[in-house]
Amino acid sequence: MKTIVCRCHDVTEEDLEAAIDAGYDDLETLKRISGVTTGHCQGKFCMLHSLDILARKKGKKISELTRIRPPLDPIPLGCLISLSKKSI
Amino acid sequence: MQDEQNAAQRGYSTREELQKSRALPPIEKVKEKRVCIIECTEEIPCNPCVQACKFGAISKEGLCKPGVVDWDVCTGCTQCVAICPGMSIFMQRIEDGKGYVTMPYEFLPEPKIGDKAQLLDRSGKVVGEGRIVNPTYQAKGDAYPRWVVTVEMDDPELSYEVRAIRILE
Amino acid sequence: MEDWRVYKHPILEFERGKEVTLYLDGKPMKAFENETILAAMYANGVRVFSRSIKYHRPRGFFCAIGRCSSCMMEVDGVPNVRTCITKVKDGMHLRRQKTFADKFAPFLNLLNLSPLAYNRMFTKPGIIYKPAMKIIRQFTGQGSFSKKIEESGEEIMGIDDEFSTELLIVGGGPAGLSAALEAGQRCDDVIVIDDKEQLGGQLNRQTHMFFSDVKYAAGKRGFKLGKEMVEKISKLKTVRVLPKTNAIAYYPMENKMLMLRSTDRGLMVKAKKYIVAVGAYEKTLLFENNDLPGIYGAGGVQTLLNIYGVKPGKKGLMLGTGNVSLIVAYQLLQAGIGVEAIVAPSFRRVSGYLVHAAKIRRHGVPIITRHTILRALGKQRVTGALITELDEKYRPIEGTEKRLDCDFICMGVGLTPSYDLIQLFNPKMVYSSELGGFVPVRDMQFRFAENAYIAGDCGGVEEATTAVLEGGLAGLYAARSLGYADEEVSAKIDEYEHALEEDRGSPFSSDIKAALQKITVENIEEVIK
Repeated sequence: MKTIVCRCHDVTEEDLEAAIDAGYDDLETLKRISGVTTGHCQGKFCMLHSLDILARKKGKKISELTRIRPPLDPIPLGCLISLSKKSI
Repeated sequence: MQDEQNAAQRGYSTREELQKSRALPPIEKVKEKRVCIIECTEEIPCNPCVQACKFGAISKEGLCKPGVVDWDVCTGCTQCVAICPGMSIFMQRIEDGKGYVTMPYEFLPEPKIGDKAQLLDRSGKVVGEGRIVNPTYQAKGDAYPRWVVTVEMDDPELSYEVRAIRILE
Repeated sequence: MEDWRVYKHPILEFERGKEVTLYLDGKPMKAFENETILAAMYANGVRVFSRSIKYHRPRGFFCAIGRCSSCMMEVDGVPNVRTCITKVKDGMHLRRQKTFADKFAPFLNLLNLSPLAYNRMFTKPGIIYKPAMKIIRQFTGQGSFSKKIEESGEEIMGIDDEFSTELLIVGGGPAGLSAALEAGQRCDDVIVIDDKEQLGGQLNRQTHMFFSDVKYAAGKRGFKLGKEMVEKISKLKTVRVLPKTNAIAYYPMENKMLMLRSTDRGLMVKAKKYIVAVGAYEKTLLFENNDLPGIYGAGGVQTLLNIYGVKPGKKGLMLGTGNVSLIVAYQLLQAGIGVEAIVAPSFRRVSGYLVHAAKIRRHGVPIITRHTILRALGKQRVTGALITELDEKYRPIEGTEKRLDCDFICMGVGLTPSYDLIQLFNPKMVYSSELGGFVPVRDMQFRFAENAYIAGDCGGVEEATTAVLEGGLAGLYAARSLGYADEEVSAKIDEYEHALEEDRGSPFSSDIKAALQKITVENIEEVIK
C-alpha cells in the first residue's frame, strides 16, 4: 500500500516525510533528494502536496514556491537549435 | 446524526423548510391553476428565470437574491422550468383529486405521453408511480434543448414531494 | 471486446468521424478519427497505459487534458507521447512503455530498487558498465528512443519562425476567448494560442446551463457558449487563432515568448502586451493507492465522457462536494453511469451550490459528509474504496470504516491556478487557499507584470462566468493601454466592472472577494520591482 505524492517519479508520502526528517526541509533541497516536482508534469500535481507536507512537518504556513524554469512543456531540441541559428 | 442535518448539509431542502421560507404556493392557488415553485433557496448570481417570464411573475432583488413568484400572475407556461440552470423550478397543480408536477428532464429514455414512471422525491426515494401526460421538447432561442415533463399522480399530496422521475421502459 | 462508447446521450451528439484502426502492441483496435488515442483505447477497455518508474505500478490516465503525464505511450516509435491530447491516425502503432518491466513487475517490486540505485550499480569496472546499462535501462526510465527517431532526427527539427504582434493571449478557455473578442474588436493584431485542437477550454465539456446574468452567459449550456465565442472570433479579421500551440517559455529581458506548435514547430513571438488566461488544473488527494488506474480527476472524466463519449467505468465514487464534483456526478447519471456516493469531509455544508446538490440527490445519489477516503481497493484497477468517518478535528474515527463498491473514483476536490507560465514573468507570487493556490499580485487593471494581464481561473479559481467577465475586462484594459482608448471602451469597461461586482455579490464569493482584495495593489510597478 503506497500513498503516491508524485506520480512521475513514484515519490510516496513516507519518502518525503523521511527526507524532511533527514534535514531536507525546504522545497529546493527536497526536490533534489526525492525528485518531487521534477517529473514530466513539472510539479503540477505534487507541488501543493509537498508544500503541504512540509508545512505540516515544520508547523509553518505554505509560502514558498519552487522556481519554475523553461521549458514548461517538452520541446524537441531541434526546435531550439533552429531558432538559435536564426538569432545568430 | 443524519436527522440533525440542515438543508446545506443534506444537499436539498425539505418540504417543511421550503414552506417556512414561503417557497411553496398556497393550496388555493395550486387547486386553481398550474403554478410555479422555485426551490432555489441560496443566494447565487443567476437571473434567467426573471428574463424568461413574459408575465413578470418572477422577481429578484439584484442578481443574487433568490427569485420570488407572484402566484396571482403566474400562468404556468413552463418557460422558467425550461431555462432554470439549476433545474430547481417546478410546476404544481392539483385537479380532480389528482396531483400534477411539471419538471425539467435531461435523461434517457425520451418521454412519451402515457409512459409510466417511477416518482422520486427530493432525496431520491421512490414514492410511487405516475404517468407522463405532457412532455414538451423546448429548444427556444439559445437555451439548449431540454424536456419539460408533466407527470400525473393519484395521490395529490405527492405533488409536494415528487421532484424527479425515472421512466420505466 | 466490450465497447465503452456512449451512443445515445440526452444532451450531446458525438461527431466521431470515420472508423480507423489502431494497433496496441500489435493487436488491432477499432477507433474513430476524431478520438484521441486515450479515448480510443478506453473505448476498447484498455485501462493500464504504462508502468511507473520506480515501483512498477500500473498507471492509467488522470487528467485527460495533457497535464498529468500519466498516460504517456510510445506512438509510432516516438516515446512519451501524451495520448490524451494526441488524435488517432489510421494504422497508428502504439506500444506500452516498459512492457519488459510489466512482466517482471512483481519480482522487481521485491527488490524495491530506486532509480538512484540503478545509477550507482555496475559502474565499476568500466568494462561491464555499457552492457549492464543496456539491460538496466529496460527496467527503468520512461521508454527508449527507437532507431527510427535517431535516423530521422533531421526531419522533426522545427521550422524557425519569429514574428511580433500587438497582443498575445495565452489560453483559449472562457477568459481567453472573451479577451480575444473584446480586444479583437478594437486592436489591429491579436493572437490567441491554445494547446488543444478545439478552443473553448473547459466550456467544451460542460453540458449544464450556466448561472449568472443572461446578458453574458446564463441559461446557455457551456459547450454551446464555447462554440458561439469561437465562431464570433473567427469572424474577426484582427484575431489570429493558433490551436495546438503551447507556451514553452517567456523571456522577460527580451519580452519574447517561445511556443511550440503541434509538437515540432518552434515559434518565437514578441508581443507588446500579453494576457495570460491559462486556467487551472485539478488538485488531488493523498490516500493509499491513489495512483491506481481508475482514479481520475473530475475534469478528466468530463473530457472523456462529454467530448469523446466514452464511459470511464460503470459505477463511480465522487470525492468532494464542490460544484465541479456535483456537476460531474450529474453528468455521469445522464450518460447512464451509476454514482455510488459523493464523499467529502465537509462538516458545515455541501461546498457547491445547493441546486446542484439537489439535482443529484433527487436521483438517489447519497452525499456522505464528514467522511473521507482511506484507501482505493484493487490491484490492477479500482474495485472499491474504503471510507471512514471523521471527528471534529478531521481525524479518522476507528471502527467506522466502510467499503463502497465502485470501478472508478473521481476526484473533484477543487482546482489550483496554473502558475508556471505566470511565474516566468517574475511577478510576486502569493499563496491563497481561498483562490486555490499560488496567484500573482496584480493591480486594479489585472496587470501582474509590466506588460502582462491576468484573467480567469489562473488568477484565482472561480466560476466560468466570472472568467468570461474577467477575460473581457482584461481584453479591454489591454486595448486601452495599447492606445485604443475612446469613450466606448471606457463605457464598456464600466459595464463589465459593474457586472463582475454584481456576479460576486453572493455569499459564495465573499471569501474570494476578500482574498482578491488582499492581492490587489494600487501600483504594480513597486511590487514587481
